[in-house]
Amino acid sequence: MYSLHKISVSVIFIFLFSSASGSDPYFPAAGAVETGMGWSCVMKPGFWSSFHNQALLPFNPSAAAGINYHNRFGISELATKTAAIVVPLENAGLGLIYSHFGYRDLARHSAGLACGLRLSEKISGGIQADFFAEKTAGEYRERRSLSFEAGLHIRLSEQASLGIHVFNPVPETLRHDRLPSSLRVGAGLILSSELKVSAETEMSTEGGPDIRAGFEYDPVRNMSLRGGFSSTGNCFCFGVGYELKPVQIDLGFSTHDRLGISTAVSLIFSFR
Amino acid sequence: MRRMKARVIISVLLISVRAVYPQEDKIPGVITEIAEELSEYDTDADAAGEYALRLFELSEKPVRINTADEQELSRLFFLTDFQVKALTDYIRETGTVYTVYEIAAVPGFSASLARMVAPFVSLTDDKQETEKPLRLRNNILTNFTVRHPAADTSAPGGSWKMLARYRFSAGQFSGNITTEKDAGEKLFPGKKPVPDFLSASLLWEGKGFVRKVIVGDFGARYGLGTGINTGLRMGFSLTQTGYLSGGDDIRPYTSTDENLFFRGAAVQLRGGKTGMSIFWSRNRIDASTDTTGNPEQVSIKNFQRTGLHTTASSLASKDAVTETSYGISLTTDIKSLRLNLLWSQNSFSIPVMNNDPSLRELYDFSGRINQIATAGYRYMPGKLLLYGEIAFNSEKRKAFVQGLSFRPSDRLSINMAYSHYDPGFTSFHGKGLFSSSSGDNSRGLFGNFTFEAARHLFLSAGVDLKFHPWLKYRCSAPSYTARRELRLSYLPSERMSFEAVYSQRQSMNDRSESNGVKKQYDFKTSLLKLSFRYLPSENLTLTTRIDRKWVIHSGSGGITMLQDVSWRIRALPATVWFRHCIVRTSDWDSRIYAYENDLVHSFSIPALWGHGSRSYVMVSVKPSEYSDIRIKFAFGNSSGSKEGKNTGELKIQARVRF
Repeated sequence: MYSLHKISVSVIFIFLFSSASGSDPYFPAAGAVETGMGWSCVMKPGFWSSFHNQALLPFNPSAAAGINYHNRFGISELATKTAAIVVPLENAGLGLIYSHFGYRDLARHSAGLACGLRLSEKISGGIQADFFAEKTAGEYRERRSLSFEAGLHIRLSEQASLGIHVFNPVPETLRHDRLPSSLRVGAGLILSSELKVSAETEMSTEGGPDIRAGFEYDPVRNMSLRGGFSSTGNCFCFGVGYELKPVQIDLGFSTHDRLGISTAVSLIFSFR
Repeated sequence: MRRMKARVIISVLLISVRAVYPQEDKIPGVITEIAEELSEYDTDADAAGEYALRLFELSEKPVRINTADEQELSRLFFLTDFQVKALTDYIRETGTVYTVYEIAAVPGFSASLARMVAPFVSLTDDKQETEKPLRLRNNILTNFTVRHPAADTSAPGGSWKMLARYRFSAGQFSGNITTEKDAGEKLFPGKKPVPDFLSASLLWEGKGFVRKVIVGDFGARYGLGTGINTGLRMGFSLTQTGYLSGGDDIRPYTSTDENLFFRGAAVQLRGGKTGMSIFWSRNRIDASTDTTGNPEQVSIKNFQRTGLHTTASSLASKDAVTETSYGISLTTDIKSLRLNLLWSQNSFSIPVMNNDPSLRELYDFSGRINQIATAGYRYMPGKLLLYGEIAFNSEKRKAFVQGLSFRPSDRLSINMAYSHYDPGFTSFHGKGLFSSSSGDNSRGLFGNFTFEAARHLFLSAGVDLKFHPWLKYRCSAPSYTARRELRLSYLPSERMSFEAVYSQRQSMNDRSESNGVKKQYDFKTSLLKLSFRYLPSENLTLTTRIDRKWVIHSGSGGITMLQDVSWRIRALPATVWFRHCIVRTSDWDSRIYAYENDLVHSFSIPALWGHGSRSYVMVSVKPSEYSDIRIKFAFGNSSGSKEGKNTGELKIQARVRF
């Protein structure tokens, strides 16, 4: 059983370093693949990445549903549970995501409806409407916020791509509650059919810049090994994934220099 | 030569990816860099707007390079004399230029410079132009701006800002009328229905002995500008050319600075290789007056340059003084040598009194009349350029500038200059080379180089050192300032560019806490700018930029990260610009400036500081060939914002041409 002290310290750290966007390492939207790569995924197509950058939605080859469990520092009260579904359309993609963080006395629900579109052969764009509801025990009122996020994906060449994502570029005066805003830019390279590398930087109004890098290596068919680094909290990440069609299972781990190890597990089912 | 030229054209056509430059991208990167640099010095911030205006005007009336002489080509004011001369020689030797990409083959030009020049040149010749029937062309522009929160709620007028401009041209005649009302000012502050600022001018241009005649409001620049230069100060970019092409110039006034222009008439004459310019002006300018020292004599206490009339004192100082100016300039070209002389006089209706000056004001101007005489030269034998100017005012204080530029190879250019401005050298309409905004009290040494280190890779660096022998604003002792900059640009293709700039600023300031004799400290800042620009398609431009700043003495710092997206929707036709910028700085000292796209003829370079963000969306719609509408909505929230936590700004512009 973890002490109340550790939980409270962790919560403080989470809110100190995190943005509600889900793009912070300790508040990820979802995805064990992304966790394993140090969340350096703004340009990398994938089921969960589609919610890190909605411009990646059209790259999903088939309709799929997934669940993700992200356990921070081994404390169940700080866990995030996420479920999502993506539906590919002709040159487009739709996505729906729901996420729950916290426990009885402090909980945050978030839901998003996303749409991505191929704008041209090289460019795709996407947008997601977000709803956040935060509930705190005691006399604190429930807070609800509406916002949006949007992204672009550009294929520079067959091997290189670029991803850009903004969260909550909305004037504060149009909303009741303060939500952080963030900007995320990254580039990815396919070095060979087995190895992909990526790097990105994110800056949020609630924290300094975060520089991330990651790789994915496929040593054998259907299996992937991943590693990454995120400068916030000197976070090293690693992960493994296996695809047993129509199911893909992934595990991801991340370290924090003060709070220990977090674990993520996700399951994706493809409707082929 | 023709065969070589054909090869160049064919190869350019074959290999070049045609970059697209919509109106919004006509501000070359170098100019935005300079504009941001200018904004670091608050007193010079308006000059950025002047830059934008000059560029927009140039794009509306591009240089017809196939028939242009050196004088006409020097309208491309961001080129060096070397480049102007090289382009003149190239056109003279090879004949008609068929594509702007051909310019990249001219010695001293690169592909990026050719791209920069492209929006401002026309390939049509005079013959084609004169075949068109003479017709009246009209251009009307109106801007409306409102900000939240309003800067001054106690001001007498509305919190909105308005600008209206009408321009026409018909053959050799052109004219313009500009009116402006700043936020907080009354639209008609006086008894007559005349706007707070009203400016008008009429220009006639010829190609014979009389080249230009201007009646109304006008600006002027002679030689290196130590005597008269109402436009842009030359020589402030550390890693660019350092010396912008000179040449005498009179031009109709189209800016909205309410004080720094002439009102009267000016004539420019040219016979063979000798030119002459004469001007006369009588203008009412803002100044606060008092009777201290002599109750019977009203005198000028200080000049008001802001143009804002929103308080009782500023309204009282509006048009309080009449300034009369006149002068004559002579220029002659003897082979590679150009000589120029200028004499001018300013007089005020009431004297400027420097009663009981503080030590810092000891050398400030006193009296009613100030005369300036300048003599300058420019000598350009081959790949060497020597230039200089000396100026004296009636107090026998002098300004002296001597510069040297040379180009040992087409890949390397080097500039050096020495400047000397005596304390007490006053030029009310001068902006000399390497002068500061105060204009005087400095001895400086400047040097820079630009080197094409490898294909597509450019390296440049510059140093500007200044010693101030007398006291100056915020420094009660002799002091020095230093600026250093290192710039690395990589342009792998027409569609992609990377740039890294590291710069340092150093100056001496008074310690605020010291009593008695003030002590000074070194105020030193470092700034690292990283930017990446990419055009994935003809209609989409992406720019990502990260700036990091350090303030050495206080240990504070700041960082900004921004993303620009510019998207042209051909089907409508419309263009959308979007920016999202995240800001984190410790304090005002660590603020960072970032250029923003704005309305046509406008400029925006906000100081970003505190913790928060700033974003804007701007849409330009062109409902017909003859009109366009542009709307910009900018908003920010920052704990460090001067106006408050949340700020908003709405700008609307309509333009009609008929």
